[in-house]
Amino acid sequence: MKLKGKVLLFGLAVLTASYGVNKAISEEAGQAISEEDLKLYQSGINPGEVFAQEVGGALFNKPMGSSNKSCASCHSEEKLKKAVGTYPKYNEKLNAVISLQQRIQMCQKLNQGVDKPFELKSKENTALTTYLKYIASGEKINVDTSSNPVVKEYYNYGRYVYELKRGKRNLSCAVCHEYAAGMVLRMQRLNPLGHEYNGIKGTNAAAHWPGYRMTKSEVYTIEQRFQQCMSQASMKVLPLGSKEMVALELYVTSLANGATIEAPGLVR
Amino acid sequence: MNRRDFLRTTSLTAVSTAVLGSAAFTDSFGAELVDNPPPKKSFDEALKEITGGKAVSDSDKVKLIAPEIAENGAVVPVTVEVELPIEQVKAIHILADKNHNAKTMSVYFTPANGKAYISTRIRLAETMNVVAVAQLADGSFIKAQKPVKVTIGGCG
Amino acid sequence: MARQALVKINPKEYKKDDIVRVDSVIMHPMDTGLMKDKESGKYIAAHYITNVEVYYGDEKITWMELSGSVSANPFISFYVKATKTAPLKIVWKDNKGEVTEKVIDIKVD
Repeated sequence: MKLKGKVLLFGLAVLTASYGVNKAISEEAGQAISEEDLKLYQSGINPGEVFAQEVGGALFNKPMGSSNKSCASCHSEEKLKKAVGTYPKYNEKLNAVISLQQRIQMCQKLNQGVDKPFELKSKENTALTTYLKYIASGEKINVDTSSNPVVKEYYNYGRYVYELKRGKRNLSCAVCHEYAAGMVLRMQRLNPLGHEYNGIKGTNAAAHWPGYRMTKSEVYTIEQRFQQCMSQASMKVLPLGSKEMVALELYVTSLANGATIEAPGLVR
Repeated sequence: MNRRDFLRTTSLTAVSTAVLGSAAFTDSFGAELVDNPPPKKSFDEALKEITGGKAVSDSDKVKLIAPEIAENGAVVPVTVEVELPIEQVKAIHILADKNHNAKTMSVYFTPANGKAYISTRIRLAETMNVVAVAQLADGSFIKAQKPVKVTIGGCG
Repeated sequence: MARQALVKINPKEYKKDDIVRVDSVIMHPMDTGLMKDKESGKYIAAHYITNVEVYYGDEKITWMELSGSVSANPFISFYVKATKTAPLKIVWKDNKGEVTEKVIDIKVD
């Protein structure tokens, strides 16, 4: 019965929040970490940067597959960094929207002649993705959400996945990151994932992923973070690279359209 | 589409990837397993090891910067600076009073450092005091301490 | 096995006798020995960096003793007085005998 009480309380808080008094509640609900304290984390070197440079950079320059070419043999970093912010992106060959990670796999398979591309959950794929996002730092997020029917379908489906309440606790992404945005959950502020929601400043999450998670001491991609979030919220975890996942990534990335890429981020 | 259909489609979605054996990250697999944890070292034991039982006085010359509330216990930024000429400072010791091993880090300086300063990230098992002890060239010890609240955190 | 590490001098531009900050990170799990393996119920053996030594030219200028209470992928930052043009070498040693070295050059007129 204890659990039910908690869920009810949270529901009530969400309800009150939607009437525009969420700031008052957050102050009473608990102390959150101060801005000054958060700044302490930002000073120094982000270990994710070492991962991007040393692991990702090395893989980028390593010849692979039957072609014996490296990523660097075909791609100049100058051109490549312009493209990074446009992913997830529509791909004509597949007539589908694909993530940057899947684009890397495609390139490995079709252009490098690699028999088995790096798995989406592998450190190698994450390292390459992180490296690309790292060299694209300073560029803008600029994903297309409407140029053709397939893209539109993915975008709308992404919004659907974002809002769909699932799992034991009947939560959706939107419950925490929209309706309860600005509130404090166990000393952690709940942030909108885009520029802002309802006047509450967001984090432009997509611009900072892949990120180094301090609680796990490793770099994860945004889709892996979605999985970890789903697991914590007692939802069925969606597979990496599935249509649902890519659609969700497209939707969440579109919320950060126009934001400057700063990756890998330093995240909790 | 209702929820049931959604779950059915997602469970059928296959990920079109393959496994590639990798030698680059072998050290994260197959960690060595042992029967016992390392021995405990309490704050008093650790402090005695450093000072040899000498008295340690509080001093505003020791600047200890740590967050009031840590975002998570695994990574707590800690910076210590001793505001005395470098020639007078021999070492800085950082202790966490309720950790399994209270002794966290010791840093020994020479005049070539120019400044007695150390910044790092430490682990705190729970809410506790972080203590910075400075060992001076004249053989005396001064300290500063700060309580740090460790949160359980939101979701993961 | 050498590990990935990164060393930076801050600020990038400095003059002779300036006191500059050295930031360093090494990728290391820093296993405390207190975590249990889920399957066997045994403890994951302690594996962490125990000593860090810093050489400026031939001189050992600072050294550190670490315990498992330092966070994974340890970040360490300290100061050096840039008195001469010489390599600054950081050496990390762990309790299993692994040694990693990283060198950055300090250049002054």
